Amino acid sequence: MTDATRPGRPAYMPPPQRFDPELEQTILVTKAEWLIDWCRKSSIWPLGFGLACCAIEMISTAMTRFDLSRFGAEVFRATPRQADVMIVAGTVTHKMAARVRRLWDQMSSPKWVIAMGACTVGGGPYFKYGYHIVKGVDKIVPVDIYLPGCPPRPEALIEAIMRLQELMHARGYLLNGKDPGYTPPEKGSRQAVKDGLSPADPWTTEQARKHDDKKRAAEEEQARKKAEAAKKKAEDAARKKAAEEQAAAEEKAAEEKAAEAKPAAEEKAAPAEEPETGKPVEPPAEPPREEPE
Amino acid sequence: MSERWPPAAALEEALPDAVEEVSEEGPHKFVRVRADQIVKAARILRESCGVDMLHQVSGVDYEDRFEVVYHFARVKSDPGFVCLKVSVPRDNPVVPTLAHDWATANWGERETWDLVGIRFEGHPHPYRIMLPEDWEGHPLRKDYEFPTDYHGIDCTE
Amino acid sequence: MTTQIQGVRLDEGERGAPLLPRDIQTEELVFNMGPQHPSTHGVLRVMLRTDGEVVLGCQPLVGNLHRCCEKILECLTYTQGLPYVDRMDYLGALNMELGLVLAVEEAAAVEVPKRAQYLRVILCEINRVISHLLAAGQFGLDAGAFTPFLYMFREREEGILLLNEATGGRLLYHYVRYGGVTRDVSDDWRRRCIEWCDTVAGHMDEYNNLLTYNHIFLNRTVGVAMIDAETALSYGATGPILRGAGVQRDLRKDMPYSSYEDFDFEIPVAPFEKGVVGDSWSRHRQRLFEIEESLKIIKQAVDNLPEGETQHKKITRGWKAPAGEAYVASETPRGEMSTYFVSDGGKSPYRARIRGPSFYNIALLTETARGLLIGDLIMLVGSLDFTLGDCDR
Repeated sequence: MTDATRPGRPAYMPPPQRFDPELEQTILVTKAEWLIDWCRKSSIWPLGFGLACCAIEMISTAMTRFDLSRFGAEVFRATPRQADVMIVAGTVTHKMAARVRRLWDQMSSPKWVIAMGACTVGGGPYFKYGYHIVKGVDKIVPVDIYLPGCPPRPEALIEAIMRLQELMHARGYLLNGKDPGYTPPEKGSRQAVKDGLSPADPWTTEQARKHDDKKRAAEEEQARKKAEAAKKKAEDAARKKAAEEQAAAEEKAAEEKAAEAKPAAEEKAAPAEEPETGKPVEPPAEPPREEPE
Repeated sequence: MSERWPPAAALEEALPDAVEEVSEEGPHKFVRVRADQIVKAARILRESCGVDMLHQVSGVDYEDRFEVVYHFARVKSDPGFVCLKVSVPRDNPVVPTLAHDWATANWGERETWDLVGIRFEGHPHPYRIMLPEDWEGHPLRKDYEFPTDYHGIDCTE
Repeated sequence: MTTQIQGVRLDEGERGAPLLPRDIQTEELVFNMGPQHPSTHGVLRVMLRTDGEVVLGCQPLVGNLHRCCEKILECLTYTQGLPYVDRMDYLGALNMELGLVLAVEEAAAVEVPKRAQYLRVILCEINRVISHLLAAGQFGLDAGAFTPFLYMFREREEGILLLNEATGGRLLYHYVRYGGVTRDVSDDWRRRCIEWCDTVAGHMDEYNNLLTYNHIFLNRTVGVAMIDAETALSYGATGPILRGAGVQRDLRKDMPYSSYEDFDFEIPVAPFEKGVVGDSWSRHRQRLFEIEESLKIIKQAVDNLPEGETQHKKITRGWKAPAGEAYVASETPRGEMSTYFVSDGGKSPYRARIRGPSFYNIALLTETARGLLIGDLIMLVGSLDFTLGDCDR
């Protein structure tokens, strides 16, 4: 049971074994945070907020066949002030939207929302031509668990409650629940680590800054080296070009000379084999090519 | 059927100039009456045709007109339904209300006003019932444009 | 706005008797029994004007669950629009489906095979039984009795298992289609259905001893929230409300549809063994009697299920109804549902106006809540047994 916000760290931390086995059966050694999360997840009190057909399935889940009370969620509170989780069961219409938001505002932190049923997830069957429907209750309240289905079976609602329990453990809130009205802390700060937004092995701000400086220096170094190499390459290319031009110019000059020397040689009418069997003009030696680094 | 349909006969006898059309073919028989005579027509049905209950008030949007369709029910004697239709022009859809005689019409006409946009004159509480008070438009009209925004909530997707 | 009540001086010598001041001044209070309330059976909002605990005026504000079903039925094709009718009265979903399908079939003159008609009857009656079990249990819950609710849910879950096996859904079924039904049932299912009927019939005494004849329940419901026949008829209220007020009206007997005329059953009408005609107890008792009658219908239908097809052969997926009109009414657990259906031959209905029984049942609150205590108002609301999906559509 790992969570994406804390990779590599299990959501449930078993208590460390420090005492002998007999004693361990009576003593539990753990973190306070774990204990509070365990209390919270084992006594989720839902707000009885049934809007439409999904409410009937919610009632069925609380009944004897599927028995939601095994998860501690039997007590459906009528008032939002005493409830932990708001299971929005049923279609939310524009007329009802303000009331949903008001009920959510009246709940005290920590609070969670389960969007039960296709209508609350994204509009459901009414997503296209429903003019009075809010297409997804996450336009009004922040949702923690999305539960699709029309209506979802009671087993599916139980799975949603179980995932919510995992979520409670994974986020590990000590005092404050997730309140979307707050501005998220800056990346790498201690508050961000506490909220579970930053990696598990935290640095302080200073250490993070030093690391950033170092990284920046290394990047600059690399950029500089790259620029030098590019410069060198450009110089080599220019030199090569100049050398080629020179060679071409010399060739041309040699040709012209040969062209001038030809009539002179014909006038002489000497055996023309010697100049013909002369060694071919070697091209000038190329300068050694430096490969760019 | 050699006999005339009793409600049609009763209405034609009592209000001859109010009856515009009688249709007795098919499974659905109806009598179309003039809009201003609907209250009297309903009373005649109650008195002489044994009608006990107004079952349903509907509004229909046709290309050239609106129609209000009333279905009355006989409960205590000879169970059955009687249908009255009223046509009103599209630019001025006003029909006198039945809410003072038939309590069913109180909410039925409010719903017709809300969704189709037909006004009922003399209604004691002529406000929207299904949609919020500040909703614009009447959804069940054929030329209704679906809204894109309502108080900041995006309505499209 | 203010009333004055003379102070009551109790007899001297009565121990612990408080002495009240001579003049007590009270004011009327206007408040909201809001859309989120454990006893409002959904999102019903009621504005109350009270003098202390006595209700002086009551205005129900509906529309919190208006899901635009009629517009959607006009926009989508015939087959696509069927699931939306389920969701109107989600407790009696099969009955709602049947209502729309009957109107379309009448307008299009479609014949339904006999086996399909019997299957419709069987499943609609099972749906009626489980809906009434929930309604009766919820009524007890409103009065404060939690145990009968649990006991009735035990049988309700068994019935839901049967429906789940036959249709594929627990609450919303999509089973009744134009021209018949989708699936057939096996012989084993029929055997288990009869066993379930016997189980429920055997438990009726338990329910009555727990709830119906309970002394506290009787005190809370007998003579409380009277609705007489004239008021019910003028408001268009139907179903158990009308039958509890003494009017013999049940569309299954009066205007039979889908082979209901083949079955032998009675319509329970008030007065019953206790209670007064038109009070909450009579409506509740009427529902329990109706469960027993429905079980009789189910057994007869299952025993005499004829062979045949389950759906008319020519009805396929892209079916369109020819131009025409129809008005058909049927009996749902909540009252009379009817459909005024207009077709112009296109791929979707031109107008499918559906009468939800709860719409007119809730309108009764405006008149009948006057003079009740707030606790009695809860009993009235529970005994009316409405569903907001039905009311707002």
